[in-house]
Amino acid sequence: MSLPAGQKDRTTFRQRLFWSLLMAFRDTRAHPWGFLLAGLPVVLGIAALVAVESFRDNMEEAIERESRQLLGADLVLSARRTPDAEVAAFLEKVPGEGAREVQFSSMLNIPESGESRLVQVRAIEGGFPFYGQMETVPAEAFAELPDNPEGVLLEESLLVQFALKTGDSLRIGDQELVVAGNLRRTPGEAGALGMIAPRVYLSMEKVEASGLLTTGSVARHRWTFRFPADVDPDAWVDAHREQIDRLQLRSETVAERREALEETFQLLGNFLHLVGFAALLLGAVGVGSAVRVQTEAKRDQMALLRCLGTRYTDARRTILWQILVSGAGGALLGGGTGVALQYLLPLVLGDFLPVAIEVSLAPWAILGGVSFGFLFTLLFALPPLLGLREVSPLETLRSGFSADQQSRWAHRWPLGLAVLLVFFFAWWQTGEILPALAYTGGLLLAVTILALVGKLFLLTLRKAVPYGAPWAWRQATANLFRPRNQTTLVLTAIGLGTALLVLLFLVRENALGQIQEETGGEQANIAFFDIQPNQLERLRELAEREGFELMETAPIVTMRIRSLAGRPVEEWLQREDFPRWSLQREFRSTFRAELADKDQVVAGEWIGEVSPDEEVIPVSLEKGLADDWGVGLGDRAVFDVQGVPFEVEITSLREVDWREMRPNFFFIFPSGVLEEAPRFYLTVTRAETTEDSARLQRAVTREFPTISILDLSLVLDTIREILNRVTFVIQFMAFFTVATGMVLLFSVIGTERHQRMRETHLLRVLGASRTTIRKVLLGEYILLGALSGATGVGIGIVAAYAVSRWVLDLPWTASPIVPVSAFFLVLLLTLIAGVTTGTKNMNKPSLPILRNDGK
Amino acid sequence: MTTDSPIILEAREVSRRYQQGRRSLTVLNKVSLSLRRGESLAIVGPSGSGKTTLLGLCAGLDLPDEGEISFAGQALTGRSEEERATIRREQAGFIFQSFHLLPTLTALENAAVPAELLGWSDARERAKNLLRQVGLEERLQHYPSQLSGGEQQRVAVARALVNSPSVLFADEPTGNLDTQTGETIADLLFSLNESAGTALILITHDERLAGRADRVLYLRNGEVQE
Repeated sequence: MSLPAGQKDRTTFRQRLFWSLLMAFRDTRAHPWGFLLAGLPVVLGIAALVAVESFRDNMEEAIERESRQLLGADLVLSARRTPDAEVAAFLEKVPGEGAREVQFSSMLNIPESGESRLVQVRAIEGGFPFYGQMETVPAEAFAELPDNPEGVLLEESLLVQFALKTGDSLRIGDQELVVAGNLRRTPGEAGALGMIAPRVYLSMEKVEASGLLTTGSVARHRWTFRFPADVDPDAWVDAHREQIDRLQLRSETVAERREALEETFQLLGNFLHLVGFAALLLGAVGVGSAVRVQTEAKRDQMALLRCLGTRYTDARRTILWQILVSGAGGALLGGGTGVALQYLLPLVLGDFLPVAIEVSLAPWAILGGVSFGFLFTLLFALPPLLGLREVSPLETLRSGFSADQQSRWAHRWPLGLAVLLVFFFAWWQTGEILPALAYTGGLLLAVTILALVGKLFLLTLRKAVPYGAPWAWRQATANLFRPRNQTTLVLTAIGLGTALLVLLFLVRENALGQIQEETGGEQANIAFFDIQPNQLERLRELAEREGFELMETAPIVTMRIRSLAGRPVEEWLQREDFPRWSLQREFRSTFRAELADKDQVVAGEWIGEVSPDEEVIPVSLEKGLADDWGVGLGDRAVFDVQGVPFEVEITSLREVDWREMRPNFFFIFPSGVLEEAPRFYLTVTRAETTEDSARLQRAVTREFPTISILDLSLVLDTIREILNRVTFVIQFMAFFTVATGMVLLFSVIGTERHQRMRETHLLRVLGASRTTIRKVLLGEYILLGALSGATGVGIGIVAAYAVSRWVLDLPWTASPIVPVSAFFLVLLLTLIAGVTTGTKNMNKPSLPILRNDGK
Repeated sequence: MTTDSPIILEAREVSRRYQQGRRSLTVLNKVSLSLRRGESLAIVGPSGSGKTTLLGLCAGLDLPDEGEISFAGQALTGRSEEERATIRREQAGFIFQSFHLLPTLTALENAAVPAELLGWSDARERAKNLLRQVGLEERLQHYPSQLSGGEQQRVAVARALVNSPSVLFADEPTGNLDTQTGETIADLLFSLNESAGTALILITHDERLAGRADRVLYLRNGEVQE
């Protein structure tokens, strides 16, 4: 049937669509893993997006659900001082039902073992919580507390630490108490809140009768209210703002708490999203690379189909289907993995959340993550496909013939779109243009630097391996430069993941190292506070008896500020840009004749002694606070010291290192004026071993049950625990990028396997022994792993140094263990990936493989 | 074939040059040929004489720098690659030295592709028929890697004829085969060509094969040798 041109073709668009689908199916049927594997690198990135987005969705639901329970009340007012008559009168005016709470620190002591720990004692009078409930075991333990003056409710961590159970005896301060139950959850408070000083609840009657709360102890008072239904708490607070400020009370409503919480978790979610997005980006680059390898392998097929008269769009569509299926497969697998991960995040972060998360499927989050990931992946997969337009049908006759090359950008426009998408994603996450630009630019810069450093390494390597080097090494080096190689891409991918991991580990190590340094050496590691003046000398004697020396002792006088630089505090508080807390707080100041060696005066002159009748007292102020307030030398302030006004003049400014574990103060008074004010003391000492520390704490708690002890090694452990939990999540995300790099490596090796197999068998035919071929493979992957590892570790160290030094202001204390381990880990993983895949087909007969060259 | 048969392919003074660095290399220089329906033409000549270039130009795989080519009554010159692809899809069949079967398709599927591209509903039947004619009825479901070189080329012959082309283009069809298999393929090619009334244009180094064609065109240095 030879019909004239234009009359034979009876295809409709639907038929052509079906034909391309059929061809794609036939193609995949023969090599199911080729294109399908191409979608793998993106799995983890999409999983990260879906997990974080679903988690955020669950979190929002929990906040919505527990909205009123966030405070347990409609309004909370609080103060750091005992309320005076004026405050009491104001509190009387607050509408609805009220409750009173007092919180302070004290020592919990187990008489049998002598063990002790600083705890936060709380007592409530009234119907708090008005919304939600205290979760305790037994359930009624909290409600029965007022009728059980000897009872105490303990957080579970304390019960575990001291192996206590309901009915056991213990002491708080000098009071004998009995464990009444286990406190599981307090409305609106995160479990981690009690990590340093766990919470214990007593009855108010016991607290007031026992003298646990002594004069001068630092206590926080809270008043909680349930408003009548017709009064809006926020409107009420707005109407009484002036009075609240004047009385130096802090207020919080449910709406404010909710807003603050949502903001915090929005930030956390954004951060996790951006880290997860790096994994997605890397994965998408990987998919693009795998698709490139696959489409390159299909050039012959493309040329043949074009030669047989296939329309370009039809021929391209056969590959597009496979890309779509592999991308969708990767996206769906990522979505599934993300859902699984979503269940993990609350387990890790649960203690830090003030609401109970109920993990549930978030369809929109999943759909959003999967479709965004899919679209993003597609943008990276399209350029190689568009590049196929350059394949000429003439290639069927003349292998290697290449038509006139289009501009590289003609088929790379999707990458431009992808960069735009990165920017819009970051903008959506951060809500601001500049950080979004910085994120997009930073990622591009990191990738560019990695690629450039990688290329530089490779070029150096090529020149560094001389002709006289062993053949296997020369061949291994040459393999890295094989035509259409993916060396730079693999190097960039693994390098980026390694750099992220090293950065996070090193910064964490620096932060911990800093704390360790401050508690190591000659530094104090036990602090005693709430020491009454008459206890100080006896405490010193006891310490000496036990073999300890009190290193630095400071009297502490509590005071509030009334006016600053000639203007009353109320006026300062009107200013929007002012750090309100810094004027509302209760200052704990000291007085001394001579400054300690570590107190560095940076401006003015320290005056150590004044006469008691001095009208204006010269004081030294911490420079940071002076900067915040915008005050300096010569400015005056009026303090209220237990009802007595003191006018002071700033005569010196000091730099204070707040990270040092020693008594640090904003204000230091000269000796001569505060000696008669009610005061308590703070002192520190150093214990070399944990046994020494426990022995001293036992002795002090036994003799002075009201003195509080802070064991800094416990604080260090707690900080380490918190850092571990927080960095775990970040490292988990960073691990995604390394894992994605590895998946990419497997994928690249997998897609290059035909080429590698031919090379291997050609070498076999030419007489190379298996050992020689193994050496070549080993050499190639040692070089690849070492280059990726070194590039990633190098960039990670530089980034960690920059972040530690200039962002976190931490000295560089990191050891070489992290970088060295990371380097060898990457090297090992690369070797395993490469050698296991590379030697797979070595035992097959060579001739059929070489004969089917290109088939 | 008779001299009354219409001309199906005609090249007039076609030239093709390639740029090699700064140098322009003339591969074909003012070559003309014509082919009638049912006629066979062998193009012979040493390596680098321009045989493959001429075949590519005649099949519309490439365009000449100078000269005119008309194929099945349509001028190729000035047409886009997509338009030329349509002409190839409807009017041309191809046989290559290295077979060029799609490795992921069975013999039957490979042979059916050109008819499928035309949307013919009987594509598989036609392919089956042709494969039976070339003696591969037992190998329909085999993949190229499971076939010998001769069998692969027979599949290629079936594929080349499945769309009932006006012209069959064969680039060294026996070049990769042993003498005996080559003979078998050549027999098949000429007999099927004759029975289908298709014009055949083939490149070969094999003088015996060239001798079986109605006419022979000698090329040397891109020019026709009389």
